[in-house]
Amino acid sequence: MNVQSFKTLVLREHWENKSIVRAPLIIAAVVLFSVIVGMFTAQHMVMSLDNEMTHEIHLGFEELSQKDEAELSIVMKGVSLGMYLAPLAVGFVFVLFFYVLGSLYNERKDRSILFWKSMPVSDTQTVLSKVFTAFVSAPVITASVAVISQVIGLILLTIMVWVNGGSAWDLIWKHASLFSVFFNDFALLIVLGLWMAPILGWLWFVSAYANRGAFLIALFVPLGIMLVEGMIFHSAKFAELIGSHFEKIEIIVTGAVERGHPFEIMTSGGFWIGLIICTAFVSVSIYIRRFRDDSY
Amino acid sequence: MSNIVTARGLAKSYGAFCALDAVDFNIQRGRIVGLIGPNGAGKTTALKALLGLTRFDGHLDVFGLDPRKDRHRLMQKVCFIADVAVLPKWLKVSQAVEFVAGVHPRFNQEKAEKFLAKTKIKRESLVGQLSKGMVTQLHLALVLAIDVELLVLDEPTLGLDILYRKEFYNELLSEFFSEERTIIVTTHQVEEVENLLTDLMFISNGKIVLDASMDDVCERFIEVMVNKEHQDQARAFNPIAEREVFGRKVFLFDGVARQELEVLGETRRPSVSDLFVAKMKESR
Repeated sequence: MNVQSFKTLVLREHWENKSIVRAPLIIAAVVLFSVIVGMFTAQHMVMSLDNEMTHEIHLGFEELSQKDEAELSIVMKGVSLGMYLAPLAVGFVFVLFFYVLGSLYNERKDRSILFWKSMPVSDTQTVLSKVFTAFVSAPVITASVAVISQVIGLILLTIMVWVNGGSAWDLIWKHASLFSVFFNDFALLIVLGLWMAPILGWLWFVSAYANRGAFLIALFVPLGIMLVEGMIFHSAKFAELIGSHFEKIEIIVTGAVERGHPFEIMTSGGFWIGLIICTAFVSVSIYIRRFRDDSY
Repeated sequence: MSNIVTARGLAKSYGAFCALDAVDFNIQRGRIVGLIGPNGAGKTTALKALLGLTRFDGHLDVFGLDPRKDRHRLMQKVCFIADVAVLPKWLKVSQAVEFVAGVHPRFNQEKAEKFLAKTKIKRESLVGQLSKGMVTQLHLALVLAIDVELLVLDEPTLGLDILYRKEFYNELLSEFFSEERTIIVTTHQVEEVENLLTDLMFISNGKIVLDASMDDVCERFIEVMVNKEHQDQARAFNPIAEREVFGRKVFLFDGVARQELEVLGETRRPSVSDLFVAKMKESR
C-alpha cells in the first residue's frame, strides 16, 4: 500500500469532515468557559466573606493537603477525566456515528465518487482510510484536545488556589497524576472507538449500500429485527445482545478511573467478536463500493 | 496502430432493460473517438464499463487490464471527466490540487498551477463558490496535468455557456492531444466536436450502428442537393435519408459511388448531426 496516497486519503477525510476536529474544540471551549464562569462566581463569594471565614478556607486548604494521598489523587483524576474527558468522549461517539454513516453515502449523493474513482486509488485503500480515520485519527485528535483542556483547567485551578493563599503544588500538581490522566485520555478514546466497532461496521455497510435514507435504515433495521424476533420467537435475544454490549461501557470507564487503564474490556469475548463483525462489514462495504457509481 | 481498447460481446442489462447488447469494438491509440447516441442508448454504460465503474458481461480489455478487477491500476493510464458537477462542493481549490498530487504518480503540479494561473480561480475558494464554468476549468487543469494515455469525457461541457465550451475543446487539443494519446468523448453538442473527431461511433438501443473513421465516413456517406427533376432518379439509389431545403431535396447516400451522384446535383460531406439523425431513423 502506498503510504503517500494513504496519507492523502486520510487528509481528505479531515477536509470533508471538519467536525472531527471542530466538535472536540467546541466542547472543550464550552467546558473551559463554564469552569471560568464558575471560578469567578466562587471567587466573588469568597471575597464577600469576612476575615474569620477566609481563615477557615486556609485551614481547609491545609487539612486538604494532609489528606490521604491516594484519595486526593483519585479526586484529581476524577476531575480531569470526569469534567474534561467525559463530555469529549460523548461528543466523540456522536461524531463517529455520523462520520461513518456518511462516509460512503455522501460521495454518491453529491456524485463526487466519480471524481474519487477517476484517481488511481483502490476501493480497499479508500475504505481503509476511513476506517483509520475513525479508529486512530479521530480518537487521537479528541484525546489531544482533552490533554490541552485538562492542562488549561489545572492552570486555572492553580490561579484560584494562589489567589486564596494555598499551595498549588501540594493541593493540585502533586496529585494530578498527569501521566496517568493523559495516558487514559488516549487509551479510553481508542478503546471506546474499538468498542463501537460492530456498530460502526454496520454503519459503513449501510453507508455503502443505502440508496437513500441511510440514517433511517441504520436505525430501523435493528429495531425491525427486534420487533420481528419478539413477534415470532417471543424473545428479545437481539436486544439483549445490544444491551449487554452497551453495558460494557462501564468496564471501560471504571477501568480508566479506578484501575488506571481501560483495557480490561479486552478480556471480554464480546469485544473481539465485535471487531470480527466490523471486519466482515467493512469487507462487504469495500466489495459494494467497487461497483458503485453515481446512479442510485 | 495498436488497439488500446478491445470489446467483444460487451453486454449489460438493468433488469429487463438491455443497455448494451453484446457489442464489439476496438479503439486505437492516437484517435479522438466520438461516441454519439440518444439518451438511454448505452453511451454512458459503455464508458462506465470501460472505466471499471460498473459490472458487465463479455470481454473488455483496456491497456491489457480488466477494468472490473484493476480499476485503480487502470486509472494510472486513464482519466475521465464525468461532468462538471462531480467535484465536491466542500473541497478547496488548493486541496483539490494537493489531493491529486498526493494520489496520482503521473500528476505534474507545476503544470496544473500554470493552468490555474491563467484563470480567475482563487486557491482559497471552495468548489461550491465557483461558477460552473470555473469548476470545469479547475477539473480540466487537474486532468490535463496528469500524463495519461486515455482520456474519457462524458458530456464534459453540459450546461456550460458557449465561451467555456469553445475554450474547453481548444485547451484539450492544444494541451493534451498527441499521437500517443487517445480521447473518447460523448456529447449532445455534436457540432462542437465534429471537426475534432477522427472516429465516429453511433450507438442506439444498446447496439453500435456505425463505427468508422472520419475518412471512411466522408467516402461512404455523400449528401446531394437534388433538383426536382432528378428526384426519382436519386431515389433509385436508395438514399438513407431525404429532407427538403428551400424547395430542393437533399438526399443522403450510403456507399454509392461519387461519380454517379455528381450527375444528380451538388455533392458534399454530410454533417455528423444529419448523419446521426439518418442512422437513428434507420436503426429504428
